[in-house]
Amino acid sequence: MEIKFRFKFLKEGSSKYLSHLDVISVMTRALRRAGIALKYTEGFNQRPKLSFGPPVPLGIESRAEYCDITVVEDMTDEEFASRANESLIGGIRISAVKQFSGRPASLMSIIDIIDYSIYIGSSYPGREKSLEIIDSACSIVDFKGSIHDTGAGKKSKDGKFWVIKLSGFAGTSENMGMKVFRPVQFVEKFKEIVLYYGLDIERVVKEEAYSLKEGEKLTPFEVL
Amino acid sequence: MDKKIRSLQYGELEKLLEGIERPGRYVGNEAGISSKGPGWLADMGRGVLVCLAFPDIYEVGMPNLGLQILYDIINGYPCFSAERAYAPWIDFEERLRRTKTALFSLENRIFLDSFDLIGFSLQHELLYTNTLNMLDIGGIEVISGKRGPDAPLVCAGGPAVVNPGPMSRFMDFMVVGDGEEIIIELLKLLQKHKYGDGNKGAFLKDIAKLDGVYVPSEYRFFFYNDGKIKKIEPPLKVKKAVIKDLDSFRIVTRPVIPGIKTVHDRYEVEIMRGCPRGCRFCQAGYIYRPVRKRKAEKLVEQSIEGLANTGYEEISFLSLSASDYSELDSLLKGILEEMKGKNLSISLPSLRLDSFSIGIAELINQGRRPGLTFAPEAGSQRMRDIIKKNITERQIMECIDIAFGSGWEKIKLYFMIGLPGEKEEDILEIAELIKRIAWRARKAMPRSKLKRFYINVSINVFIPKPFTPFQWTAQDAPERFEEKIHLILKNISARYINISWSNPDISRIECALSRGDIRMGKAIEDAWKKGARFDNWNELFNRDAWIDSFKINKIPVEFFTSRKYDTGEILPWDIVDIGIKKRIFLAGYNKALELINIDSQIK
Repeated sequence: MEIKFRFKFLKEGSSKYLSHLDVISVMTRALRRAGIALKYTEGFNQRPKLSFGPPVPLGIESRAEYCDITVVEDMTDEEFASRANESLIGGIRISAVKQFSGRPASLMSIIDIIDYSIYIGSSYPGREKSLEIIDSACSIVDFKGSIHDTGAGKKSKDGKFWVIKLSGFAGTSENMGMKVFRPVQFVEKFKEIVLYYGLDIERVVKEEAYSLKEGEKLTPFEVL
Repeated sequence: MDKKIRSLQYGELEKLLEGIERPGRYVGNEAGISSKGPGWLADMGRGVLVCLAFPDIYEVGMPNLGLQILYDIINGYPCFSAERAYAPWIDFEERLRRTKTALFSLENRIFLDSFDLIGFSLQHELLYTNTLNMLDIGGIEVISGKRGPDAPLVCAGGPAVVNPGPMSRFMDFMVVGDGEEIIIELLKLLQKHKYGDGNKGAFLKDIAKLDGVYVPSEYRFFFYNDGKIKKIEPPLKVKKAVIKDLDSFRIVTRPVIPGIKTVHDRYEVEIMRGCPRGCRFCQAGYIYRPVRKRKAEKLVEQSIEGLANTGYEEISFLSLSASDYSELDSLLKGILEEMKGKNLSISLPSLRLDSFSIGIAELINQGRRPGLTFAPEAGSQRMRDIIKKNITERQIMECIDIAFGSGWEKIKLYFMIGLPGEKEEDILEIAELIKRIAWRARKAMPRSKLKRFYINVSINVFIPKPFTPFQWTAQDAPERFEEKIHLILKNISARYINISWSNPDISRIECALSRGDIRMGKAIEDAWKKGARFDNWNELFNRDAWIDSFKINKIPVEFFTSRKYDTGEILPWDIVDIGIKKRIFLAGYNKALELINIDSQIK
């Protein structure tokens, strides 16, 4: 018996310091600790069948990492998530699971757009000033054309931060003639700009990943 | 002794890690952490807080089994808690120093100076400067005599303190031998004094009576004018701590599992301690005796439990010589049977190659063919006899035939140069043996695989080590090593043979440190102050710092390296009773000398 799951997981707190390769072994070991029977590839160098979406770069937190997996035992979505979560290390947690069948296109090949939140350590500086800051960030030559949507941002729920949301093009966009957004490099440059205004970046979070279908943004669960 | 525990906030750590290489080394986000949490730390009762420190980077230190064993034992007690600290890489050291942040443990990010006890695991002498560096970054005075009553106690264990002389300047005490039992005795006494008289001196006096514990402040060394030791006061030897039965301690079934990739990222299980072979150059072959084996049946059961707890896909059975573990076959078959269909791979790093073990290698690799490792150590039979490496060329070649005839295509060979009695012919024989092995392997291989054939040769510089029959012998000068390496390189040209060798300058420092006495301490301190650290990293080795330091301390390096020690002189490590009588070492030494002389008489 084989079941395929697509799952979404968080990579928060100090787990943001794990590289993608580290995450692969952390995830594999956690699933083995949970006693979940994984399907392995054939051949001499057998690896479990895990296929990840485009990974968040090291140093950035994420609420939307995706992975496809095949297990060889019968279990429900909830059971899979709760068993895995009991074994996972701090900061990494499965937040949603969906069973699927057939052979959909790989996660790596369908993610076109990724949303990020940038938390700036100050309450909202006012609409005019905030637009000015964002404008100067988006006009940095290196990132022109890689960010397609952003707003002036708003206060975080607790009122401590000013949060900017932005959408960047992912790796697949190159085929569509778009430039790929590089969040690490962007944050580095953006930091200089906000420091100039006497502000500082506190936290960067990858919020969601989307596939574009006929102009519509679909999450990796919605495409299934 | 009682004091407030200070630690680093996570937010501050995040700021410190900006732009730092491999930040995962410093965050401690690992499965299997068993130290006590913040609640315990806030209200310790009669608790004792220990930092297990490894003076190399995280990736190298994490796989060290000794540290994992102690961590597991200490944290099994409700009143004790052990955390871990590793050497920061140079970029993070620079960041810590610039921001005046003290080095901290991984678990609760406690600054080193807030611990009751810091215990270093010293696996080799080239980690001495890193040890001082960690203390210093941790906000602790490096010289034990200058540390105040509130400073942590600092101790060390491991093979690089079987000669406790060189680190005596820095350590409150050192532990020689097995740590499993002694660690708890020490912590109970520490607890008694911490919550009793609060007197570190009284604690040290108490533990000095225990087997395995060396307290430097209890001893005085007297020297002759020529630099040799005149006497050691008191003349009492420290007896090595030994546990009789390995099986009385379960293997670690809940180790800490690193989040980032380490040098040996697998589940490690010790199957046997001590080695029955007694190769004359090998320190490990003597200091871990007596030979003690774990029962295969228990190993299978406990390993299965450990694999389930860790999720590891690879298990490594550790010993100094797996071929001498009598129940190897039933151990391997037992594990393979239990783990059928669960994708486990097994490694046996110390398997001695013979026709029997090729069968074992096939069994554990199940179709895969990783590289074979082979350590002839010397090229000529004469030399192998002198060092008591009991293997003949015929055995080597039989092994090559079977292995390369059944699918293997890569091999790694280990040799040593600068051995006692070595002549130019012996060096040339190394090159010849490598070529003969290559020829034999290529002949045994299917032609289709010839393109993939590869030999890696690693040439190490011989270092005479304490507690070996060769402890008295002289080390070759670095120039001689360079000539010898050159001679081997000149005689080998095949592109499928890749030769690497150890840095003779580094090996010379290692030799001086391992055969040094208490006077070496000041030289270690000065070399560190001049910038020496990570001495075993070729690209960071600071030769000038060491040479300057030896010079200003008037220590002639030759005295501890190129000099043949007298068999009658008092050796710096005579203060330790390693469990083997000096006359046994002497007999081995004389036997080797005899073999060297017979040969020169014939010629």
